[in-house]
Amino acid sequence: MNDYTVLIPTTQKVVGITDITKEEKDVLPVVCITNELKPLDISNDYKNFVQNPTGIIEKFTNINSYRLDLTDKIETGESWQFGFAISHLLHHQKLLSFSKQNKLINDSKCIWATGKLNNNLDVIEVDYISKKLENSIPIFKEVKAKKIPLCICVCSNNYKEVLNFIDNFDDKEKIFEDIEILKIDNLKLLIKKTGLNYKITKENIKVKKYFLYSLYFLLAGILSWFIFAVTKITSNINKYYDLIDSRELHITLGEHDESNDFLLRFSVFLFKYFQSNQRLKMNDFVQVNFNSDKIKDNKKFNQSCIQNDEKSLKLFHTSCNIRIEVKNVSKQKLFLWVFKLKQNIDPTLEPSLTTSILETNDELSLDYDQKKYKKIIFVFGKNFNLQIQSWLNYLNKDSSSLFKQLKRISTSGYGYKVYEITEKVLIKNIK
Amino acid sequence: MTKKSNEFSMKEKLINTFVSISHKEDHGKINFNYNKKISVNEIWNVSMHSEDIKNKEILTEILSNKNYSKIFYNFFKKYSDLYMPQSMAASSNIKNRKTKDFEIHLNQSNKDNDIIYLKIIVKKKIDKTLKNLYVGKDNNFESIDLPKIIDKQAQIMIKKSDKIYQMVVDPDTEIFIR
Repeated sequence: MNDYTVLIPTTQKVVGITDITKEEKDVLPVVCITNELKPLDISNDYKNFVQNPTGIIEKFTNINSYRLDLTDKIETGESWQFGFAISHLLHHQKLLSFSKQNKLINDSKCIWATGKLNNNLDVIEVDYISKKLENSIPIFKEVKAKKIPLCICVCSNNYKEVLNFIDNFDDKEKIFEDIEILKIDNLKLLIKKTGLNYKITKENIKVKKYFLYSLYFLLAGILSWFIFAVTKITSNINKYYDLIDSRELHITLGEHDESNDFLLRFSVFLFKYFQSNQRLKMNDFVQVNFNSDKIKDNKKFNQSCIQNDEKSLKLFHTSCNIRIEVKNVSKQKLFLWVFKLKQNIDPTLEPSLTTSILETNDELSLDYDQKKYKKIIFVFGKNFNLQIQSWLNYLNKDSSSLFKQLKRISTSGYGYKVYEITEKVLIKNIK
Repeated sequence: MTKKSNEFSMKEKLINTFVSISHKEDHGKINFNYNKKISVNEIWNVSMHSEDIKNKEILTEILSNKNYSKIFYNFFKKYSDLYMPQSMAASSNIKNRKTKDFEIHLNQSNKDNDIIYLKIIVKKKIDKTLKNLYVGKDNNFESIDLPKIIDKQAQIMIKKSDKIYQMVVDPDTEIFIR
């Protein structure tokens, strides 16, 4: 049996709901007078009241279109919203007893409701409460006579007005004696008070809960994976540092870089990135200067072997010998490898690799014969590494592998400087 | 004094006047049978003021003539804000009609199977208020008032038995909104 009849007071008369019909999705929600074809003017507001995203009814019922039939016109205003919302919630649970066109009330309990609703389901105060109550007196008398329970539902602000009206009303028949007046500031409170088993709300909450649980699991999964990934990457990088002086480092790095395992590849990338940064920091540890002796009869070179051109490149007179001075300007001891790359592969040429240790501010002076050599490479680091010697010596066999060897040096955490000295004795810092 | 062949004497003029007055009184009783010609200007006028009841008779007359009807529909199409030509529908009973200007969606009411929701979705940007929807095919021409178009949508409730419904679901009709 349906339990509640909803009455919606207007400034003209009290209006009842005679039918609520679920319509097809494509239909715009409409409010009509019972069985009439012409939608009432509030239909567009009703559409916004029902349909997402502005509406609230669809959020509860998951139905986006209704036809709602009334006993009489509601021409304007928004005070119908509270009553309509209650009706929809009751109707959705088959607890709404419809009014008849000429008979507003039946044996069911009555809810007299007026108020606006916002998106948070808060009931907002409306005007003309006294007028609406005055128009409802015949109905109140009827429910009193029929002993039908009736409750007036309004928000806190309108509640005071209702009490004022009752206080000032000459209630000889004691019609307000049995009427319950409910102060409802949120639609959910009414649901609670009427004992409405609001399944949809619970389902929504369940859906929300499931969504939140899924989100938590997802986040926990991501976090676990992240921790695992960080641990694995750290362990890999530590392993690379352990192998830094051994031949195996580059073999391992190569293998990991070719691997399908993302974490291995990422570990290699990070390791190379750190080592490259380390190398860039170390570049300032060593200062390299190119000098030469003076010559007297040279006008262009202003009686000097060196001239700076407009691009700040050093020009040396071809008849001058170049003297290279390498200085350790860091605060620590450095191992230094100086490798002169030969012009031609000439087996008779003396070994071009010099190894040295430079304490802080120590300086190494070298002579450079530009006719024999085309490039000079300085490699320096905090530790001695046998690998560097073999990589540099390999350049005697294959000078085109210079950049490959430099990459290896960099990956091993050593700094380097490479100078190219052209036939015209043009000295250019290329790396 | 000799009288010129085309001139009447004063006496004859008076007699003619009285005869004319007596005929005028009988005018309503006499059933004249002649084919009235309608000018293009009149057709244009009717097409421009189709909602005007005074034009109903002449509209019927225009539509009953194939040539006039063709001119009328051309004018009507030209001066409509939204136009939907005949549909290439396989079925004779269609639920939706679409064109680049607007769409018509028809839905049967769950409350009463005889009630149809006719929803119009306007796709074209129109600055003026659209007042009427017209449906036409040969000598059948029907119209219905449109409610205010809000959010490019308007909905009318009609009955299945209404002629306008039967014409809207007929793919051979042209639909105009102005």
